[in-house]
Amino acid sequence: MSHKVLLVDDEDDILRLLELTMSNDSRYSLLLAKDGETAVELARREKPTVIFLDVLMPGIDGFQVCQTLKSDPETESSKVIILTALAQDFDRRKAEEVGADGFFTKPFSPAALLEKLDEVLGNSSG
Amino acid sequence: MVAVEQGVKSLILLPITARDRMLGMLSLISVKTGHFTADRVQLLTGIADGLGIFLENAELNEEVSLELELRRRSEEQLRQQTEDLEALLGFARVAIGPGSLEEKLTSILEALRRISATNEVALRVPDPDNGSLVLVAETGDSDMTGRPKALTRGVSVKAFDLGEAVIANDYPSSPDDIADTVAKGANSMMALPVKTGHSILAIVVLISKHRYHFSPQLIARITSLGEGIGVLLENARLNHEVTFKEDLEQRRDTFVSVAFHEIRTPMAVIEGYSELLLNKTLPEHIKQESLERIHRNARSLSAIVDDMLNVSRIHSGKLTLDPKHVSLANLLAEVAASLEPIYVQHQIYIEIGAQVPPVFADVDKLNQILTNLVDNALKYSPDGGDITITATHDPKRDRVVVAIADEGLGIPPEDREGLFELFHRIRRPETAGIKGSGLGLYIVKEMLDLLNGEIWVESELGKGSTFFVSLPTK
Repeated sequence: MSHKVLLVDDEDDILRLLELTMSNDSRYSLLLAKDGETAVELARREKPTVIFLDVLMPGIDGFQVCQTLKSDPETESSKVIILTALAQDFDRRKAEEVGADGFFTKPFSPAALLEKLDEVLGNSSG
Repeated sequence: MVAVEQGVKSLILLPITARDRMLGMLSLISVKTGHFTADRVQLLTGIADGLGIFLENAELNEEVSLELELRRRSEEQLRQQTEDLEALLGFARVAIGPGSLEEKLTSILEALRRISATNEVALRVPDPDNGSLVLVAETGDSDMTGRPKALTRGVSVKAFDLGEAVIANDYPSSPDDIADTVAKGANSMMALPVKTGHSILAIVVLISKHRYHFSPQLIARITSLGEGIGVLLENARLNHEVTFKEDLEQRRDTFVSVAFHEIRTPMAVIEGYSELLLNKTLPEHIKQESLERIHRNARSLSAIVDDMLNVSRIHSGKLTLDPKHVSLANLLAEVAASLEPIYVQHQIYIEIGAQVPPVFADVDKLNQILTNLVDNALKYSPDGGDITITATHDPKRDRVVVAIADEGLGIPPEDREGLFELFHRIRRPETAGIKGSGLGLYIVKEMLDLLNGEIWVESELGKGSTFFVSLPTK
């Protein structure tokens, strides 16, 4: 079964890196968004299993997106992994507060990211 | 004899007295012999007595009004002394009370600003590494604050060098004026060294929008308050167990932590794509794409590091200047030539008026400033369009104004406010994908401050922006 994975980042280079990292694996069907509003809209429509979410973006930021999705029964089951260059303890706590399921900092290893994805998908299917 | 020759026949002299005190003499003359009869003498004696009482009263009234004036003055002096004493007590309360050192300093400066009826008060401390004066606290009208971070010249530096107060009551005509400060409306300035023992702890700078604001009385009051501030600053510093140097280092740490955030994105791109290239059998075109992205981000990382070094030099006052007369025609042509190959869908036009004199600036810094502004104009015009650079001479102020106009995205009013602040970036859907560190315009502004230059912007959303740079000619 193919899992929908939503990738959200306003930096084209990062979005493409995430896409290339996961595109070779037929288990994932990828959705892409470059800002918070599009991310919320896609999440509501497509109900992705996992969302990799950047924080600093134009319009609503990643923390707000996460909070919106986690407080909506329609989207709360999507696993949200914050993927950010904000690496302070404060940002980690903020991610927990808004209900994120994981926290990854940039720079990141594509291999480690795939492991994280497997782990989250294993938990969600089990 | 003279009086007789003039025909005087009768004369009477009557003393004017009051309470046995001689106040004057009433003298009357007549050309008639025997004019002053007994009746007349009696009448005139009465008049002289009346005059005595009148003069005594007048004298008393004058004494009373003089006394009242003296009392009024001493009351005013007392009021001022009480106000100053209350201010010093207020400073003491602030110094030993809760709050950060910066909050305390701002609170003390605010009290000083109120008493002196000035528009802005700032506190600068010497950076022991390079002798520049670094801004640590300021308070005042919103259009006056936002003073340069580090100063190597000006009234405050002069006060520091001389070790005594310097007053510029006609600031725009002062040899130590700074163009940006004049542009903000400063007309009088006083810089006062705050001492502890023989060493200068800080410089308090007071600015007024009025010419000749600092009267000798006000200068004396501020000077006496300054002595009190010195003791209290020393106490506040000791209470906090933090030296001003440590405070500056703390600011540098904050800068470094924010800067790290800015370099994480290009690092993520370089590391991520390299790992893909090493571990995956990728199609040739994806390999090529990955290498191009790595290369672009490596360049951007290097530019951010350069910018950070520049900011660090600015903050520590280590940016050295070598000002000379610079011809804008050559410099602008160089700037355009360096950028044109990168932005092939744009045209850059340069128009320099016939009467434009050379500007007085450090050529490398000016190159950096103009390159940054033209690069921004190109970057924020993603759909192409013309970039027009014009240079004109303002004969009234004897300054050259360079305008860099684009036909790009424009800057929304809410983003114009903090445009020249550190790490300010416009995050809008249209600007997604435009790379920048949020350091460029900050560096431009700070460098222009050092070059006695000015910068401002006009912009219309969707139509484009024009950045204006005004530079001195000598």
